[in-house]
Amino acid sequence: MNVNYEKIKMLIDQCEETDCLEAVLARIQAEVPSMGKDEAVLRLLAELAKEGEA
Amino acid sequence: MNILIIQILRIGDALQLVPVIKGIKQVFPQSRLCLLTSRLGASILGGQEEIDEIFTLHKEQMANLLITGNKEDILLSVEQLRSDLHEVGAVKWDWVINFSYTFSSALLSFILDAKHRSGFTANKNRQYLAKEKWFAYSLASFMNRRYSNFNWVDINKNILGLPSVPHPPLIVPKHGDVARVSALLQKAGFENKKILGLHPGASRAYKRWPLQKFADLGRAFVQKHGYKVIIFGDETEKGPCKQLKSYIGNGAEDLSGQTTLDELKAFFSLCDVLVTNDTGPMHLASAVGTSIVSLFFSTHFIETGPYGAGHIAVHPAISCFPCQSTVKCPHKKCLNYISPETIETIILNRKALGSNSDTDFLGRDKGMVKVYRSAFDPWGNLEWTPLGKNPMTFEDVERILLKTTWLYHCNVINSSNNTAHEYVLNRMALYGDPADRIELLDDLEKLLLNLSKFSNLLDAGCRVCLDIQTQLLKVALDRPVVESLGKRLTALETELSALGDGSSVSFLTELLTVLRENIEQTDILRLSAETARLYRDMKVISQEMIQRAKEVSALLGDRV
Repeated sequence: MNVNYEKIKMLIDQCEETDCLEAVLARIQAEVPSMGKDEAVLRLLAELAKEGEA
Repeated sequence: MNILIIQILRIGDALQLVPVIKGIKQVFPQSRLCLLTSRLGASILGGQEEIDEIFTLHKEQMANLLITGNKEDILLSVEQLRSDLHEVGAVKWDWVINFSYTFSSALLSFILDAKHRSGFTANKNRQYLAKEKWFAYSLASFMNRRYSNFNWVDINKNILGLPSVPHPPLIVPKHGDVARVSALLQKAGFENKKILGLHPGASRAYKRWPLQKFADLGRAFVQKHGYKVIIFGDETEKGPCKQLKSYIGNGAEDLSGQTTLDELKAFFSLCDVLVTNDTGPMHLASAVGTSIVSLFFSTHFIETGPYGAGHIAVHPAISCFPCQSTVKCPHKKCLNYISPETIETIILNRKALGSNSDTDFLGRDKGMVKVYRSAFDPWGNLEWTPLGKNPMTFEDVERILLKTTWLYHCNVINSSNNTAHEYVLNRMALYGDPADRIELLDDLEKLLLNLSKFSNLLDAGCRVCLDIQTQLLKVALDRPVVESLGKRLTALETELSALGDGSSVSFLTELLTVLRENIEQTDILRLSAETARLYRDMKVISQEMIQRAKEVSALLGDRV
């Protein structure tokens, strides 16, 4: 499945913004032209958070 | 072949999967069929013999961690996801099927390795999409609920292109469970008595028939008709169920919060009829094969009614039905439209009632409620027949036109052997004369006019797309010309959207929008070719609907 969970955790850990999931996502989207699996995992978590709040 | 179904929604959605799971296994008996679902879904579908393995996604647990916003909690949820996807992610799936309409489920479909994906997914361009036109049809239904024509089971069946799915009973309670609950009922004095099941709960207040009405209904059956009553509900519904039991008095047993899933199946199988709101247990009862009288207030029985023949659906005859509770209702008066006396009459006469029955059976509810019985149409899709000669409305005509047109478009029926025409005639015969025939004919004329405009705009759009392709294929690209054509296409699309006037044309414009959004955004040349093809398809749909509308108009004119 090729997801780099350690990298995902590192990006979240290093993030200094309040909404770190969204901030990391915005950074990846600006840097990478197409969505990879790591980004999809971050998006999935962001969506689960939104669904949990709804 | 490794097949994975993703379903991470509610109990009812999981239960509506059962016929489709069985249908897949019929077509692919040698396949390894697995399910990725929530903990609740796993508990509901765990016993299905067709499912080889269930993978659980602890989505509530992750959501609870994520909404705190704490970095530590987010990191814990990453670990949870890694653990949940460890095994399912290690498999090379031949076919991943996602029936959930959420972005999270679409992303799951994208993340997993799959040769082929069906249903809602995502792509590398960060686009959420589904390739199947039945999926687009269901999304267009979301926006125009009153024009829905198909149960979710049939939509899912058609998304996968399954020729058919088995009909209930789909779940057989275990012999031991039936024997045990029968003994319990015997002890409670239920032996040789007809049993009325009542399920008064529902997830939202807008779906609940008032408790007092359930009580009056239960009391009438105990005192007047010698029935016994079983009250069903989960742990959270124990309070109202206890209250209901005390209203009905002797002859009622309250089982809320006391049954396992297997016991619930067994109890449902012993009921002569179950009266229920639109709930998950309603779908469980229909899967077991229990006869159901279902009450719908905010949701639509056509989409989520009990799947199987012979069930009854009752809904208030109110213009805002089905509201889907999308707006906060100031009155909720629809909940009081249906009286216990009407349900009592329906239960006692449900087999004798037909579309030709006098609507007097509705008593004081006449004109306030509509009653339908389920059956399967000639193509194996669930369909609801109105009971009592209801006057035909324009909406009834539009729904018949849309369904026939769609089935024609999907090659299920064809015009050449007159099947479509016969179907329209048969459906129209189920309704009484319209209250105002001239008004109905006028409405049909307006519809024909709008459909013609729709068709002409699609034609124009198709020509613009072809012009764009011609320009793009030139050696020296004339950018201003392409830009001008792009602007022309945008203007045409605005005109097309403006045709959505609340009538069935709105459904078509919504369908066009959804199908357009589901075109993969690659290069402009391919995009314009795909858009041209879509416009051509939609034009064929509108032309077919025009033909049917003209036939209906002539038929109604002849009846004058």
